[in-house]
Amino acid sequence: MFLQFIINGLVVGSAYALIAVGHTMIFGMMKIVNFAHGELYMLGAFFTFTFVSYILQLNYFLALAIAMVLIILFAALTERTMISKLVGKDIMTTTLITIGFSIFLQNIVQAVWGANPRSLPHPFRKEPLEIAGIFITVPRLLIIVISIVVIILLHLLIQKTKLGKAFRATFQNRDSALLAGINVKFIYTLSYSLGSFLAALAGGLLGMIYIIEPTMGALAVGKAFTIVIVAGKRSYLGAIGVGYGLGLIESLGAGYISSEYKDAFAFVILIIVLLLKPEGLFGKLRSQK
Amino acid sequence: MVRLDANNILLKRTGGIEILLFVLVCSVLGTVYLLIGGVSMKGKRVSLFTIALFFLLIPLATFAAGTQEPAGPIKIGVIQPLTGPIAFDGQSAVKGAELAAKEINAAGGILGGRMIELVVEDGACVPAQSVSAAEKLITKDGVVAIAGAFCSSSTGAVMPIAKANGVPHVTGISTSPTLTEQGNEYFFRAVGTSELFAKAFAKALKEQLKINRIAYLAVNDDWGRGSTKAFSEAFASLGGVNLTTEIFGMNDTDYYTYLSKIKSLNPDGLYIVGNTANAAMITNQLRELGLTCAVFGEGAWTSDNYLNLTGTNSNGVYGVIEYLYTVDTEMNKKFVKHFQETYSGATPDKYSASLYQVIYIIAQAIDRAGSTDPAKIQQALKKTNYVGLSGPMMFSPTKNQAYGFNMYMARIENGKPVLALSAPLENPEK
Repeated sequence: MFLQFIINGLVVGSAYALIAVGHTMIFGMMKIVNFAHGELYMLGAFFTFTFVSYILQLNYFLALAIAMVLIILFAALTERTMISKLVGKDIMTTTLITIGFSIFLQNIVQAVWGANPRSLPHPFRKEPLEIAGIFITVPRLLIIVISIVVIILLHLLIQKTKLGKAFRATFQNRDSALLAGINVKFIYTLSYSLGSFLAALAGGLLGMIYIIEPTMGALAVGKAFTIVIVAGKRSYLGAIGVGYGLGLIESLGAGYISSEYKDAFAFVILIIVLLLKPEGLFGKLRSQK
Repeated sequence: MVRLDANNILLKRTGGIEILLFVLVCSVLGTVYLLIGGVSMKGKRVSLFTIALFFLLIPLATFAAGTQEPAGPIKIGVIQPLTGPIAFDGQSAVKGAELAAKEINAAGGILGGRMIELVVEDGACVPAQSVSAAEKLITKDGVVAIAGAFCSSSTGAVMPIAKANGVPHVTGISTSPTLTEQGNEYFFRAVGTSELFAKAFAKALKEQLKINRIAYLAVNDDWGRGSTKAFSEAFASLGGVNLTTEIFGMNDTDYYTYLSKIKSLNPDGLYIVGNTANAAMITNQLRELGLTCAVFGEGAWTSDNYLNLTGTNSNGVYGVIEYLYTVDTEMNKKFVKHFQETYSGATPDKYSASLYQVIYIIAQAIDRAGSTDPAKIQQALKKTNYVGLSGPMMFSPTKNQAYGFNMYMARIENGKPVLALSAPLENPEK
């Protein structure tokens, strides 16, 4: 039972971590609260679905790859034409515009694909694997593994490459980065695309085990936002940790305490953290200039 | 009901004589008022206040000129969730309503040839949004009756608005028992309640299917909680054992935790309350987890969409439902045929069926009332004796709760719902 809850929590936590880490990148880098972030999660699922079921009827992995390339292009285009114009604007402006964009995307998807819930076809067997009394299906196992691999790759990219150095520099201080000759505009586009890709990947993966419908993103991003705040607005490692942690707490809490309060756990933690450590668990207090 | 809305009436009636009359009455009343005002305020300029009062008189004059019934279409308001996670079910319901309106109008309308017109609003299953939808329908569109609100919580929120405005309100979907317990004489429920389902089927589960130990998994709203409460009470009174009640959020996607917990209790049966998307995900996940007990679902457990989303996983699942498209009544055969012709072969689900019936019940009540006066429609609704898709439907004397028709339980075999049990609903006030 305990191990089953842990595995359940890891699946949910993978999604939280992928969505939240992208959210943190955009938030920390560009200081923009992107309310349309969940829609990228939703688009990731719908794009993959389209390539699996309609256009070309590709193999799931090929479809996922093409969908991700398209998402990155789409995100880069949105960043250049709209999001980049919001850098440095006040919070009301960015909030209104990204909320508007999120409503727009939801309704476009509803108009094109329809409101009926769908499942994303995948080639794996439906019967679960039973390992030491724990039931897990191949797609679920794949979600856990792929998420961890992607998160490690992301960490390597940020810590070990030159590009990563530029990322970190911009993350820490935009003006100094600019003075050091870093193309900050390019870093913005890249980080927005990368953040969007992570959310879309979560959508493309989780579409296999859940059901995809136009409002799935709006619901997912609420939790992701909580995670970003709890972790500290500028800590992507924190977002990953808190993402997995929340998945596990929800699963264990619902399993051993009460399923009625499953969603309350996240918000109770949020309130406690905001009371005791308002800068977030992994955040550093910075003076407001 | 009289609505003081000049635009509304002007738009509806384009007869030259009537408009002339209207202008005449306005001018006479206005002039008289200005003269009186002028005399009493000797020498003073006509104040803004007086002018404002003059314009206030215009709608009053309209009322005087508009006592005669307008001859345009009769508007019926429909509130359903058209966005959000249950948008699909809401749109399905609207399809049924539109089909009914189309049939009624094609057969010559009501009240001797007047057409009915549906005004559809999105309530999103959010109580606040449903309330604004109801207010808009009543004050702006001037509907004579309201059908809907889908989720029990939203229907409950619309009820006082309809009552305060004296507009009859009929639901064909919301099953929370509390709605008809409020003594709201303007509210009618054309569907069984969770309590009535529970009474009809708890016995069948216990005795015919030999279920002794049962667990519950229900959506976190009035419907889910009300249903499981009613069912577990009825089940316990028959000597059955209730193991646990797990509550999930309407937006949940992962049910492994709930299902793992239920599996560890090793029940004979699992009773689940949820709509299409929830139902499909739960069904798939419970099969993945290797749950082998009998599964009973209340909600959209036999719809095409549910069956598509679950594939072979839903085989053997029982759906407790108000309606099944294979029901063998004259009315239903006609309805299914017409529905398939209209919506390119899709089979109607319970939501389409219930709104189809609700529109007929309202239209027939307006016809019986012989007027579009909502108060008279409310009186006529009480005398409903409608032959519906699943049998006769009447309303109980004080709670306005429908009874008389059949309730069904279907078992899914090879991806098709097959009628397994049926029981007529008894008058709850007998």
